[in-house]
Amino acid sequence: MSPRDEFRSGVDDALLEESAEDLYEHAPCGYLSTLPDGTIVRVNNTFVEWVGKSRDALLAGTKVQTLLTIGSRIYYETHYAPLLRMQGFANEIALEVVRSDGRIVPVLVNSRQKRGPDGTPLFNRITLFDSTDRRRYERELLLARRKAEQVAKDKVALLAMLSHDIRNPLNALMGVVQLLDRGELSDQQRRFVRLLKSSSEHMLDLLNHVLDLSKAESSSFALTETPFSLRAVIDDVMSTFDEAARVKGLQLRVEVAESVPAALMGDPVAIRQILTNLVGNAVKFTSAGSVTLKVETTLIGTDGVTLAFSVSDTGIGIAPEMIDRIFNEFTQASYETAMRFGGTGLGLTITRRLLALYESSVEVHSIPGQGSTFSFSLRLPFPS
Amino acid sequence: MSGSVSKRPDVVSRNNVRVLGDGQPAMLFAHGFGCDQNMWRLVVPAFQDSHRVVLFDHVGAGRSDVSAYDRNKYATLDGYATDVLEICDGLQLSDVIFVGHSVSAMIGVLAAKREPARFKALVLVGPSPRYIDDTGYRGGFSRQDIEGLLASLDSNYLGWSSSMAPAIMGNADRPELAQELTNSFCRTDPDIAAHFARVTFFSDNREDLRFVRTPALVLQCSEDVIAPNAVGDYVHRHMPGSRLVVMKATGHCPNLSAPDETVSAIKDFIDSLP
Repeated sequence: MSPRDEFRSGVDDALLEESAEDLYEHAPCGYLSTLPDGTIVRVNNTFVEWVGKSRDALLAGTKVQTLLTIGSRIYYETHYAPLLRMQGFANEIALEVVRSDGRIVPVLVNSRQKRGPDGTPLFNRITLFDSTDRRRYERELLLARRKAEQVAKDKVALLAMLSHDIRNPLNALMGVVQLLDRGELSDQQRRFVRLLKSSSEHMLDLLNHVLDLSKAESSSFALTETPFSLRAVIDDVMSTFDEAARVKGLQLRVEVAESVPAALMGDPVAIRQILTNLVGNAVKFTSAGSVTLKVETTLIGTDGVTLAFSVSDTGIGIAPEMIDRIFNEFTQASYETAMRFGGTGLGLTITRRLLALYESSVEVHSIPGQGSTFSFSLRLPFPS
Repeated sequence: MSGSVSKRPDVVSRNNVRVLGDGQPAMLFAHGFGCDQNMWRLVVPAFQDSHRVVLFDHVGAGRSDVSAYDRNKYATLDGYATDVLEICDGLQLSDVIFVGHSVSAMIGVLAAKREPARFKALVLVGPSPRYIDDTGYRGGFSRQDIEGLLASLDSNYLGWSSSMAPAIMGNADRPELAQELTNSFCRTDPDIAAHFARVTFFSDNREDLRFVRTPALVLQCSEDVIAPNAVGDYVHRHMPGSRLVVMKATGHCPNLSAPDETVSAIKDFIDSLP
């Protein structure tokens, strides 16, 4: 016996006698042929059974679009039919067929238009798959997505409202602490007041970050574009860290290439914030060595420049598996990090959001124990 | 990049405006809900030798500038009429023959009501001033039907995200090259499409019809479920001096299914204009 005969002997005779016609009639999907206007001219048994009408009724001038729910019918007329006419096919269109007993069957439709030599449509070939289970699953997905989006929106709104409401009494509190600090106090009272002061400053810092974040997340947030001096912004940012660096014995270095133009267009507030966040982190997480801010010109065009920024430190570094996480809200590399170094964990999230507005992003290179480099590029136009 | 804000919007990029030919009078073609200016591809060749033909995409459709979408502005059809007038202004069009399909027929009515001097004539293909039935008025739909359409949009856009990717845009003008896997025409932003559907199908512009004195042609298809015969009749009766032509073409898009009949009806109308 040849291998083929051996194979055939194991197959049921009934299956071998299945004709193309049988397959057409009883395939596990609906087959239709229609005129270009939707009039059904051929239909298989599977579809006849789905709609629960007689084949004769379907072939007596019924248009396929009349078998749909009204919502699907509008979609058919406004999307499906134009699409099929223009591109000659339409794939995976979700429609709903109404059975004669009123039950609705969600279907997925693929169509091809057969055309004559001059491009005139002759007829359409349509395949319909019952997608009841799939549609239910899609609905669940869609609802879950909507819910998640709503929750995210609510969270931002709540954060903004809370931090705003907390900031007002906190400002009053800080004022009073400042007044107390000026008065006659015992050493122990002075220590208490200092603790009050540093704790309330930290709290204000946290709140400001939360407000910045919710601003950067809201869709109405937009960058301004004014002429500004990048070198002045950098000087400003670095001088705020002079004291902290001096206390820790760190060297603060700035290397701005000569090719960086004196005046550029951009949002100085946003750029200051980005640099402050990155330099601030570098100073915070470095106990010995240096922090370097470098700016180079990578491209000079007719209307602007592309600048490469990098902030490098010789600090504790970040483990590779943590790098993606540090950009999430309220995430520091670990709980211990938060305990040891403090901070809100929002700085990098805000930085990423602001850079996204410039269609840029931060890249991180880090070796644990040796240091990290955070870099990004900005395209800034020349003032006109 | 200059940072200065010009008062006039850049309509050409906002609405992806395309101009063909330079004969007079100019013709401005506006597509309806569900598609983009490709809708006119079978009709435009008949006019571009004799007319300046202007095509555009509504904001949110086709290759328009999606960032120009403003939910408040486009909360009524009047926002779209503003765009039509801005396109006329930007291209310095006057004495325009406006050809609007489906919802854009009403957008043209609103534009002509606001600036009658701008328009020589209106061609309204499958117009409906109100889709939902009302006391003494039959638009063809109930509110529930329209909710059904919105559900249908959801189902389709969920599976359609791939067809909105810019990567496939390259083939839009050469359908024979279109990959047989994605639906590359009529790309649209799903959120905007859902909003446009709501604004379109919940609109009521019956009161605006009688203010328009511009000569108008109402092109009515047979068996159009979206704008049934009775609605075409209504538009014709309420627009003084309009002409009604009922076509043999069936369905809602005669500009695609019966381009020859559509072209000759529009040509007859233009020839009859003073």
